[in-house]
Amino acid sequence: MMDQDSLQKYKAIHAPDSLKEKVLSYQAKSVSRTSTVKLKSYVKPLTAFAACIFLAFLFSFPASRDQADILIGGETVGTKPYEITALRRATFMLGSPVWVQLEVSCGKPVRIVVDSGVVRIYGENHAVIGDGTSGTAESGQSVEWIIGDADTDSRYHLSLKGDDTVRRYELLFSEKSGTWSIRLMSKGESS
Amino acid sequence: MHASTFTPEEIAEVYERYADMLYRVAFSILRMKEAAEDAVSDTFYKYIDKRPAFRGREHEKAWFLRVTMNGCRDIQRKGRLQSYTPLDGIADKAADEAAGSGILDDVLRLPQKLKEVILLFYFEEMTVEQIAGVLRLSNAAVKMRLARARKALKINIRGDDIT
Repeated sequence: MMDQDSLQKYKAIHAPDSLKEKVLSYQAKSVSRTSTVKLKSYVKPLTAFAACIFLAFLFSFPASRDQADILIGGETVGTKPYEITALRRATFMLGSPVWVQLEVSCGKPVRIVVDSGVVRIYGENHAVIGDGTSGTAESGQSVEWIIGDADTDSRYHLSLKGDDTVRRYELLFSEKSGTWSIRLMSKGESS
Repeated sequence: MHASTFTPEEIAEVYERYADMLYRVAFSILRMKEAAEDAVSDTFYKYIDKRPAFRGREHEKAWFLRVTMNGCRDIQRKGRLQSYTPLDGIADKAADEAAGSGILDDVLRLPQKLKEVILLFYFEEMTVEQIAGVLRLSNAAVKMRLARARKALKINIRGDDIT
C-alpha cells in the first residue's frame, strides 16, 4: 500500500478560492457572449448566399484540364491551414469521429485516397456513389472524410490524384486553437 | 455553436466535483501553484466554451483529467513555467507539505510520463483501464509505465493488482 501519510498529505491539497472565482467569471463572460452569437446567426445566411454566388461565378469558367482542389465551405484549401470550425466542438468529445465535409473542384474526375478512415462520395440527390478508402469524384460533388477513431496527436492524409498530378492534404489537430485544420501539403506529378 | 450556456449552479456543481482533483494533479506535475491554477482554470474555460457532451460520469472525469494534463504539458512545453513566480508561504500550506513529504516527494521528481501514471493509480486511485482512457494509451502501456515508475522509485506497492 502507498504510505498513508503521503496519501493524506496529497489529498489535503485543495484548489484555492481564487480558482473558483476565476472559473465562475468565465461562466459570466460566456453568458454575455451569447448575445453576440445570436447576432452572428443573422449574418450567416448572407455569408452563405455570397459564397454561393462566388461559387457559381467560379464554376462558370472551365477548369484547367488536370487542376484539382478541395473546397470547404466554398473556400479552396491551400497551403495555409484551414481551420474546420465545425469540428471545434466534436474534438472535445472523446471517441467522436472527425467528419470533414468537402467538395472537389476539378477539370476531370479525380481519385481520392485517404490513409485513415473512409471517404464517402455523394452524387445527384445526395445518393452515395462511393464509400471506402478511395473513390473517384467529379467536380462539384460532395465528399465526406470520416475518421472514426481519430487521435488528436496524429496527422491524417488525403490525396487527390489526377492523370498527371497528385495533391496531398494533411489533417491535423491544433491544441492551440482547439480545432482540426487541413492544408495542402504538397503537389506534384503522378507517378 | 453555443445552444445555451451553463447556469452558475451547474458550473459550481462541476467545479466542486473536479476542481480539487485537477488542482492536485496539475500541482503535482507543475509544482507551481500559480501554473497549476492556470492549467485547471483553462480546462474549465474549455468546458464552458465548448460544452462537450459526455457518455457518463467516467467519460466526463477522463475528459477533465486529459485536458488538464495536456494543459500542464502545454505550459511546460512553451516554457511558460519560467514566467511564474513561486508564491512561497502563500495560500497553500498543504501543497507545500505534500511536495516535501516522503514517497510523494520522490514521485514528484519522476519523469512526467511516469509521474502521471503513478499519480492517477496510487494517489487518485484509478484503475489501469481508467488511466488508459485518460492518457489514450493501451492498458499494456499503462502497466509498463507503472512498472518502470515503481522500478524508478524502488518501491513495490500494489504490484499484484496490475500484473
